[in-house]
Amino acid sequence: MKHFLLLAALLLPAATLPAQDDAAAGYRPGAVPVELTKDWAILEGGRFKPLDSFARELLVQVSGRRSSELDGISALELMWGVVLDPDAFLSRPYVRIDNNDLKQQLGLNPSERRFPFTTLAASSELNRIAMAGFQKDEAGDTPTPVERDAMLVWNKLQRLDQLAAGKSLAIVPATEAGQPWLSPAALIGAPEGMPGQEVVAPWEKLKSAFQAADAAAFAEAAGELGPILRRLGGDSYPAASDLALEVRYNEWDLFGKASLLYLVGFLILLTIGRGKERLMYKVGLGVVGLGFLGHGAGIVMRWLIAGRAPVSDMFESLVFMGWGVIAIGIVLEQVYRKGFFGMAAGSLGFIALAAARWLPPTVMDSSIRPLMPVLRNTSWLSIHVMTIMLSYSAFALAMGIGHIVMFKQLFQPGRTNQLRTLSTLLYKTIQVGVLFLGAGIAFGAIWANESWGRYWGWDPKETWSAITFFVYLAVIHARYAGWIHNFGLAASSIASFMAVLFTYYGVNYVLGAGLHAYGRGTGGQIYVFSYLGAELLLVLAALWRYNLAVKTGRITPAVD
Amino acid sequence: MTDPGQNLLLRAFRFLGSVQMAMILIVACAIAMIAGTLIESDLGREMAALRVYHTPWFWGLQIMIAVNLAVAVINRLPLKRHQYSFAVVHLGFILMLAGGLITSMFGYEGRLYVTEGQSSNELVLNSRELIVRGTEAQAAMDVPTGAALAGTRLMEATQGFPSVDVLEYVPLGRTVQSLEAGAAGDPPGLAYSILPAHGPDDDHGHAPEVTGWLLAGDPAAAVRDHNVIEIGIEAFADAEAFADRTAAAPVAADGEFAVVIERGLGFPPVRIPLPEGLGRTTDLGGGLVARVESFARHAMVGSGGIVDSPDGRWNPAAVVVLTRDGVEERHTVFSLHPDFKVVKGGGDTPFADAVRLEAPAGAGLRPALRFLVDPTGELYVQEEGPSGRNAARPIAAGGRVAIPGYDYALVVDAYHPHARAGLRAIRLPANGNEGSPLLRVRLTDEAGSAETWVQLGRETPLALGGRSWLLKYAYKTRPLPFRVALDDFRVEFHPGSRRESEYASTVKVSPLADGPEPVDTVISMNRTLDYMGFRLFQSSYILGRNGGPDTTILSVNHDPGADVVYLAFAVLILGLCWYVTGDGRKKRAAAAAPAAVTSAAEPAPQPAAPPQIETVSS
Repeated sequence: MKHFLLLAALLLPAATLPAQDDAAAGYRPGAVPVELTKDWAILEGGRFKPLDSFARELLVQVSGRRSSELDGISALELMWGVVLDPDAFLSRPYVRIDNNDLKQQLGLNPSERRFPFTTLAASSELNRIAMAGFQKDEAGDTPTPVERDAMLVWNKLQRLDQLAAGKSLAIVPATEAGQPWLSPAALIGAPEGMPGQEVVAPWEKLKSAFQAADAAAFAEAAGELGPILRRLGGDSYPAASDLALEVRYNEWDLFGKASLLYLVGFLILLTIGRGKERLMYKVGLGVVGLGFLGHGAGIVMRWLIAGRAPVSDMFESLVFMGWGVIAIGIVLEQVYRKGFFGMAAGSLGFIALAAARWLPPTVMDSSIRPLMPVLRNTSWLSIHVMTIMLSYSAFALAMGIGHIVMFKQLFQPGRTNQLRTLSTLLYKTIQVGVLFLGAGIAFGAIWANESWGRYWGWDPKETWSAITFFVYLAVIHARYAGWIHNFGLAASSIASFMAVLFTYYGVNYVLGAGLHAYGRGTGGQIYVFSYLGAELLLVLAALWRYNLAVKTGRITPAVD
Repeated sequence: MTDPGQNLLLRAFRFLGSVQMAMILIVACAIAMIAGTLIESDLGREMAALRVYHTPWFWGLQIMIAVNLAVAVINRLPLKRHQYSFAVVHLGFILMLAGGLITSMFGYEGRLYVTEGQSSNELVLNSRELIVRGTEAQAAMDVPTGAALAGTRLMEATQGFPSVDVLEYVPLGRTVQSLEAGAAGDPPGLAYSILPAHGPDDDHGHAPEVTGWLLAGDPAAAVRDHNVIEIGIEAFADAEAFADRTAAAPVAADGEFAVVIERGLGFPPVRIPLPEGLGRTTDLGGGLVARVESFARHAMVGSGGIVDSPDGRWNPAAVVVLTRDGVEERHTVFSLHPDFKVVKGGGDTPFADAVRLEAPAGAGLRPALRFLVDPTGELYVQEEGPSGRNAARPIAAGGRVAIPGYDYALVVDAYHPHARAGLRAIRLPANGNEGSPLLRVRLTDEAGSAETWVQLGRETPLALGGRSWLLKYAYKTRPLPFRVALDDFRVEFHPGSRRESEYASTVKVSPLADGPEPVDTVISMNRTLDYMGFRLFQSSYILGRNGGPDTTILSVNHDPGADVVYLAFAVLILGLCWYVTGDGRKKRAAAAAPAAVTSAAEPAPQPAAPPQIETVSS
């Protein structure tokens, strides 16, 4: 079946494709006011969303570009182009290929990143490699990286093909609630009296207006079609305010902006001590605080759009963890007022949000998706996840403070007052983390008991959260017993964070077992080991400087 | 005054509650848990439980932790104010461990299977047992999952029962029965394949290859029915009986072929014997005449009628033509298929009530292949068919026999003069989701010992010294104090898809003896029921086939430890809050920096004072 669809795709554009290069090259972006359609509703991926979101998700998937435009053409315009003028648009280079070996095997230029649909769809070699990969997948084997990328490219081609063939733009409401929606192209040629017929005429007008780059005609057709769609949907059509909210969420890009504000705030706080301390301190914290407001607003908006607490996947939990870092950091900064919490929080908030916002879409999926039914209707799940993420935030903050200690030891060894102060801050942060982690584990156990009668099942994710708890317990007890002092505490906070990372990320991607598994060994081990190596180097270097300072008498370990 | 023994005891006791002990236990427990998750990732959930989580030493570790937590508090009695939070936290942990202990000792859970229109109170547990059933009595024994099973003796030999040992345990696997070489005294057996006669690249399509095996004397395996042919094996200990049996024995068909026409209405049936009556016209009276137009013993139906193909299947048939007033009615009748009538022509009403072809007694024999084994163990094969039996001829492994009447051949893959039906175990990946747990069990009594594989959920026979036993490895069951009756089970799907959105059981739950009021309610994915100390969840279901009644699978849980654990959580969280926000600080600062007179860390908020930022230069 898969073969058949792609074959159909191969034949269709090739057969109807005259020399379009002139038209394609002459296309003027923005010639047609597509923004008029951005808040039309589409039923896709199990939920209602505005066309704006659909177009952006399409752009991300096909071109790997998480932004609103490509080569000067907006995502929405690209989407309409594929739907209304496939001949022109499918010959433009939009489909991204990452794997250089695959490009070579297909005879493509390895320094190019994006290629036209028409070229790729005509490649039987690509088809062959992708099919080999799919077969391996079904048999339970592991496809090679080349095959895996070919499979991804094949899926991108499928998506474009279905759009171009008029199949997947489900903007026409169904007659009964709960039924899938229709694409306008599907209604052309439908029998008389089929509901939704009135969509056809304005749709044809829209199409010819787009192809002719006639702004006025497009606006008129859109103005006709929009209200018709809304009327057809009746009560089941999403509220205009909801759609507008999501469009605004997309356009404002609050997480990206907050991330940059955190970076700026952190840099400002770094400069404290070059004069104008009090002012720079306030400005720096203010910038971080501003970012925090935007960050929080983004979370609230996402909560409203998704209809549930936004903690259900990697993207959302990472965003929430970043928020937690800033929140706890701000609170503790108000308590201690040394500037260190502001610095640690700002830098970590920036890293967390930047990772969430800018990691490639193959690794980080930021689209809003509905929850699995088994997970719905329970507030315990949200409470559990949020508490755990807050504990990770606290431990991340502690790790941040630990880094400050390491850098200070590297560059200013022997500053005993600072060392002691930082150590106290660190200890308090770890305590907060232990509290939230203990509570989070407890909430998770309660949720599990209420949902399926077992409060503890030794699932790897559960077990690793307990391991992390024990790790930090060990740090606390070691400090209590006097086995580690200030420097030791800082080094421990960095090392212990590995446990947090493994619990958060490793269980899913490295272990590949248990209920939370995504598959063993898909976890990008290179990055993990590089990170571990870098941290180890940092601690060792700082330790060496610290020991030097101890030997020369500038630091007394029992006190410091 | 201080007795050295008492001193030692005291110091040992102090050590039990020391920070050093705590660190040892924390590290040991963390390492154990890490090992557990790695084992689970490689070898599966069950192995991880067997090797770590359900082992005595892991339990011992947890008990030691509880002891350490308690003694740590006892060592510091009477407590000072700033130590209260630490005591509360430790108490919370102790309670949690206690709750866990209660759950593991007194808690149980299982599944309840209820079919629509029926009720059940039989809880299927997760623990397993082995039942050994003899002719008069049976013995049941627990099969533990918390320890290494290989080499465990499950039961000592007692009155009438052999001893039972587990030799091996396979977490996930499958048993397959196959023929294997046996020992002297075992009956003969052979394995065969049935193939298209002209080889696998025969263009008649992809006829599946059939394989099978036979074991003489075994009621389940001496004869195999392959629909169009029967295959059997028989061993002979007596040379004379063997010689009689292997001789050719054509069957004298008793009787003759005849077409029988029944007219009803008081007319007697008319018999036209064949082949003598072929072609002759018989007057049936009332203007009706009958004529047998054609007759074939190996009939194949063609466009013009039937043709006799002597190499074809035994299929006696005749074409009978009934004529009245010039109107013809043609009947094609088959002796092997009396209900299959083909009637052509005729008028509005049938000319006769029934027309059929009678075959002589014994002439409708199905083809069969008989393997015969002489007293010295030589193998012979004999064909049986409608015309009787051929003389048996020798055949060896690799030999080929044509299947009479069909375009297939049988090949003898292997022959063992002494054979056994062995049960083989195939091991499947322990962290996969195929297969069932398997046990290799050995029974031993005065007569010797015998062993076999037993698969969870199946019964396996085992013969030992003339006695035959039935072994069953199954989940234990336990009666509940109440009964659940299923009125209706419903699955809802997301519109336009096959993903379930909800499933719900409408049930009536009533106590068996005195108890609370019966309850009519719905148990669904998001709605549990608490009844008589048990909690019932909607777990899964089995849909009835062909519109038959559905079966709901409820998960039932009894956990007296859960409430203790909930209490522990509350205590623990309160204690941690207390610890973080306060009083413990002084003690920790004092302990960490005993020489410092002034505490350098000043965490108390001072909103009035300007922020103290340490600059690089100062």
